[in-house]
Amino acid sequence: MAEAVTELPIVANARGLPAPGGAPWLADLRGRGLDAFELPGRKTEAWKYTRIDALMKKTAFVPPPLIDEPASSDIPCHLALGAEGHRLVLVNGRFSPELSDLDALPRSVTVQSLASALESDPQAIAPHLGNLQPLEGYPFAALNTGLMGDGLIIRIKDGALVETPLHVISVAHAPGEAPVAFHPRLLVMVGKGAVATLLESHVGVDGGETLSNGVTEISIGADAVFHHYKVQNESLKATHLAAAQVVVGAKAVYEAFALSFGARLSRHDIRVCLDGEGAEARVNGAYAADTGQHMDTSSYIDHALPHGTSAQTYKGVVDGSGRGVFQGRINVARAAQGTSGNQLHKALLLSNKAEVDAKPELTIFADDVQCSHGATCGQLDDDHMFFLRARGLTEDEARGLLIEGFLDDVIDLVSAPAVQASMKDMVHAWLIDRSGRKEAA
Amino acid sequence: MAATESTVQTVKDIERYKYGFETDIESDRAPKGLSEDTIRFISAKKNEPEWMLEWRLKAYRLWLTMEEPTWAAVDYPKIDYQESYYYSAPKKSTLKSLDEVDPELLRTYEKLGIPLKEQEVLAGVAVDAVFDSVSVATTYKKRLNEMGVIFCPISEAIHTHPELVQKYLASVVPVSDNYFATLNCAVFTDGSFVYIPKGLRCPMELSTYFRINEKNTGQFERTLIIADEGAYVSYLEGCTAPQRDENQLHAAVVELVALDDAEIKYSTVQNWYPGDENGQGGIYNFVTKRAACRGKRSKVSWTQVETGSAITWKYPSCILQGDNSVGEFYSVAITNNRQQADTGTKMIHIGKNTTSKIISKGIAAGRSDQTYRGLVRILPGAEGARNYTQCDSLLIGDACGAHTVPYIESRNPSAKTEHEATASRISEDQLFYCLQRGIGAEEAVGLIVNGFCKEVLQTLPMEFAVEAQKLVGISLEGSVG
Repeated sequence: MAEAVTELPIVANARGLPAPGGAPWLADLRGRGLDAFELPGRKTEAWKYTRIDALMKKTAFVPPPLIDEPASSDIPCHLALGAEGHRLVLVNGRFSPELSDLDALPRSVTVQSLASALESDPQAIAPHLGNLQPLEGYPFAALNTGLMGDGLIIRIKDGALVETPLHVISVAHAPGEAPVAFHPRLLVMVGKGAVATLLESHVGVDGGETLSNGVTEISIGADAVFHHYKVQNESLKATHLAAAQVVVGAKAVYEAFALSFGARLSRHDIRVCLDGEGAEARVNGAYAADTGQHMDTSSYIDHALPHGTSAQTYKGVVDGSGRGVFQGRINVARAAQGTSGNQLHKALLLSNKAEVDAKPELTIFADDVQCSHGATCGQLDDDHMFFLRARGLTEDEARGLLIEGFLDDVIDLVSAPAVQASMKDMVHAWLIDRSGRKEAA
Repeated sequence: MAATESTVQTVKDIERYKYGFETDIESDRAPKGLSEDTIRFISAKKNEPEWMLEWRLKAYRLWLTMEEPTWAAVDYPKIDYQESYYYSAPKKSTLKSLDEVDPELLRTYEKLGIPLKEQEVLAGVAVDAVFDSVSVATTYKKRLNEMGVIFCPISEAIHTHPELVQKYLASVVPVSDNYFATLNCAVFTDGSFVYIPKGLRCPMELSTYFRINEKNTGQFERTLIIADEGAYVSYLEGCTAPQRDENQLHAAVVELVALDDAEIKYSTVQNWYPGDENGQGGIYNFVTKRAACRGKRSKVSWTQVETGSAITWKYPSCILQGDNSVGEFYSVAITNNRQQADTGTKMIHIGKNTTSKIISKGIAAGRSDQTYRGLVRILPGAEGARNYTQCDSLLIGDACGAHTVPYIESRNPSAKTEHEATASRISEDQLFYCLQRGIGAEEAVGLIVNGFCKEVLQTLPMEFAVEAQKLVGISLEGSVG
């Protein structure tokens, strides 16, 4: 098995390329990453509904060429979140100082590219890099660990109040014929009592096939509040794999929202560990998949210590021959008495060929808990449609309005008003596109 | 001091398995271990036709190539299949009436509180008692026979109704279905066969009483129930077993077939020996139960109360093929001490307007672990299908675990699926309310838990409901206070 994996083009083509940073611990970490990478197949429970082995075997992914960087005018900013923020641009996983804008960055925040940190002072990040991300059970995070070269290190000082969000724009760009794969790495350290917001927009420039295989590690100090909003709006030739590991300290709050429209195949793996007493996580999301798209959200909330609270709401709309997958697990450890954990997934199927698979999961080892999960799946309510049709809306308008309402409802959970508004605009744009596609067909 | 000692003794008595005793009946058994010879021995003992032996051997050869499943959240030492006996039968087995039944056996039933005679007379239930592997007493057969109902041991049906057996055996659970089902195909010794003819509403509840008696004997029951067009039958299955120290393997297969407009109600109370407080001994219960709702408007309803066994691995399922067919699953699972249960259901919606309902109540106490594992699959053709699932878990004590793992796969937009699950402990308020009114803690827990399970218990036939309510209380004794 291991032999077959190393022969995958994505690994074979990356071999022999110079990797930044020569520290022995780094070489060791990369080696462990590649060793742990095993292509998930039919029998891999965590990837039961998302089959990626055929794509990985047949596509000859190469590392991104060094020279081609798109002009700033080529970057489809309209696909990124419209909220104001300190712009940090990654092109094919590489930090681009030219395209970024760090001038107004407050002194309480330091941003460094991973590549430069690995060159200049690798010892400083040795204790943090790969500290949160397990390699077992996360095959693509392991692959990222084996092949990572660049990304961002964001440090927020204790007690800092960062008003303007940091906005990471990750651009996937395959200018030539060859399909490009890259492995960006984000390391975010939020100090005690700090308040900050991170936006992530994943967009693609028209071109060839791309594979973005990112890993984000976030540690949140005690009493801090961290907001994390992500939009995935890549092209239909893209594959988007993302793993996020979040550790939340005592009485700290982590609020996340992930919105997906793009990519042919996407998987958003998020694991939040409530690692301090009274920690709180609000992890929500929405997705809209159409023909030729497969969207997977897999979340894992781990209540490790007492009095933690977690709340999750995910909604998905699946049209055409699209497929939506939701796997959500809430784990309550023996020690985590006084836990409250709730989760809800709702899916709307709009066509006969669409499919939704849900696997919510509770594993509970403590008794003083209030935990629940719910999952529903169905189509638009006939009565609602009738109400709108009776008031003169066309079938298409009525459906559009109801779908928009369905998704906006969960976007309302986003606590930053500007981000919320931008996300709603995106839903609206998706619906206009959708009716355009319907008419064209 | 004396008072304390007597309390300790009482608690010990309570914790000991109530139905733990053995009956000494001479038995006739196959040599230890599993091989083609064992299978030939079983087949010869049963005087089976050639096709049946061929079928068993084919299954055995297939089984040799299979691997024991490991996906369930249960933990047990590796089973040595060569260390078991695969056949044991009480010696006297051709009995015409109850009077001929070994008095020792009759006394066993009496101890269990369900004497055959009493059941026969009072409850009007025809009992096909499976004592170890051979059915020793079949009652009410004549009356049922007159109406066209076939209710007999499956070994007998192989001789008397080979066409029905050949047509339906393994048609719901294929021979290759899973490791334990395949093993069952190879070595099953007996079980019940039921056929309800067209349009008949079976006038009484049919019931089998399974017990595992002979030491080291794996029990491999095979049950096949067929309800022809418009027929109705309610079938009860209940178990208690004597106390023993070595683990016993039980791998039964139950197949139900419901044709057009037919309805089958299958109720189980399972109270096998769960092992002692330290997890020593107890039954391994690896059961495959599946129903095919083949006909239009057919209905199958599974109800189970699982309080026994050291390990339970059981997923009674419905394949909803016929349009407008209905599948139901009601379950109460109680685990205490070191018990482990991984149980749930599968509802496969194939036909149009098929509906399914799943109500699962799990109660975990002591150091036990339990998992609800279920699948709801809506296929593209299941226009207008509907599913409702509710799984609630109650945790008693801080050393137990309760898990919920549902799979929901929907491929039809007009289908509606709903799933909810909750997990919590007994509400302090409810407990306080009871205590304040002078109800003891243990009794109060029994009361609250019975209320928690009410939705499921009330679907049981009356005779069983009473027994089940008592069982709920007994199973949780020693878990509080």
